[in-house]
Amino acid sequence: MIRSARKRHGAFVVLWVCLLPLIFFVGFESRTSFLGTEERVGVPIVPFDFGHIYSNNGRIYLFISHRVPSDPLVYWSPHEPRGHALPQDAIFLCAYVADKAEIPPMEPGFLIVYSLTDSEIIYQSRWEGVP
Amino acid sequence: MGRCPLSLGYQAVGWNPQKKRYDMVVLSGLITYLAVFLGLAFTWFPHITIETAIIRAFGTAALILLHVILSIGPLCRISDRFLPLLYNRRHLGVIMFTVAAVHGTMSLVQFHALGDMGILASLFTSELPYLHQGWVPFQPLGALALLILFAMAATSHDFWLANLTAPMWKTLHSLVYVAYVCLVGHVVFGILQVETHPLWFGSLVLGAVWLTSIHLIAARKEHRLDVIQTHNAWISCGKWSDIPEDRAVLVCGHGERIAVFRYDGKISAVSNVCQHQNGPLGEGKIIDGCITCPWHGYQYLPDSGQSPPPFTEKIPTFRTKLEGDIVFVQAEPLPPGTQVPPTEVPK
Repeated sequence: MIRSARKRHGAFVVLWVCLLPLIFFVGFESRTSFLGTEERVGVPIVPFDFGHIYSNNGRIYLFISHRVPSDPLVYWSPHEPRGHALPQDAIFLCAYVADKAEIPPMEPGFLIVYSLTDSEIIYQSRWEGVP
Repeated sequence: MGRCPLSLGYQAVGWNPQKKRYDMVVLSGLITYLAVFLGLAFTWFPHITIETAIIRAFGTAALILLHVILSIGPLCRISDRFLPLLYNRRHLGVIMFTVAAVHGTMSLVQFHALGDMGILASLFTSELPYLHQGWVPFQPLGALALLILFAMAATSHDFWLANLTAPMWKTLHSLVYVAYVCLVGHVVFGILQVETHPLWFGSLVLGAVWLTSIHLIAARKEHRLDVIQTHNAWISCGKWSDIPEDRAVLVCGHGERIAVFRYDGKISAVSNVCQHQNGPLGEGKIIDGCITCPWHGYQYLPDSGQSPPPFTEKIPTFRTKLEGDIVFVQAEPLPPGTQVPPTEVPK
């Protein structure tokens, strides 16, 4: 290769060596920083198998503490789901975005986290209602 | 050196048995990978949609292929055993772009084409509401990488190599490093935000460490060759008998590496830079009386630096002389294609 091309090539590699660790660091850190802190100042009122429900200024937030599935949607159902499919009477509450979901007060039943990508229920837990 | 035509004409692909074999191996490997990925995906996640599985299969395949492509260059600098992989790297690049384009197109259709917003507007704005939460938009990074890969794939032909000139063409294709950084960002800030198993993150880091390491090792090896040994008009190349028959030794001239060849009891020196893709002629050998580039087989006559007729490529030549057993080469190049009488050495 000609010398000028080698120098240009070297400059690209130096840029690469500088940027990659930064991307990895920020990317790794951001995986936990998305756990919204503002909403989490409230008192955890319901521990779940897969996360917590927090109440803050009258609003209720769901946080998933396990792996967050792709395209997660939050549903409520009066009946316990059987298998991976959503129950017929499941009611869509909201999308789980940026690691939290604000959910309306619901009657006792079951809270379901459904992955639109995987088309299956990922998490479910009994919901006793807000105390 | 100016622009030189690289061949008499162009055709879409100059097929030969080696290229066919190369492409067959790549395509077989790709199809096998996709089949295994989809099989495992539907076994482990039976409710995954076919669209998602295909998007992920093609995305990971493109990323793996890019790692292979970026490994070939430095591996060839480290050891010439890898040169057969370099021979048809452009086909590998075009195949990788095609695979990445399938991933990109299917993602656009799946996530951006079914709403009430334009596809591109949706692609570049759908992540904006989350910026204040520290979210890094990963989709524009993927789009930028795909754009670069498209530019590279579209110009992966000798027509563009000749018309852009080799240095410009190589600069354009050096953008593959920018594309790689964008793709790492696309993956890290995209799928790895939700797929948090350490295996995935670890694999990507391992890939980056591997590529960085071999590039640094190759650069270190190359740097040794670029130390200018003297500022004199004539550069010592060592004993003529130390130059292997039909091979070359490399010395660093005032501006560029010089390949000093020994053949048929003669010594000739030419620029180390092939006119085709700036490959290292000094790492090639003399076949049928011609210096043959180890990258793609372009040939030059050692005493004139001209490609044998009907080809018209020319490279600079250098005067040589013998003092005792020591070969000297003049540091200043002669114009491309200048005939220089070879220096005779005992056979």
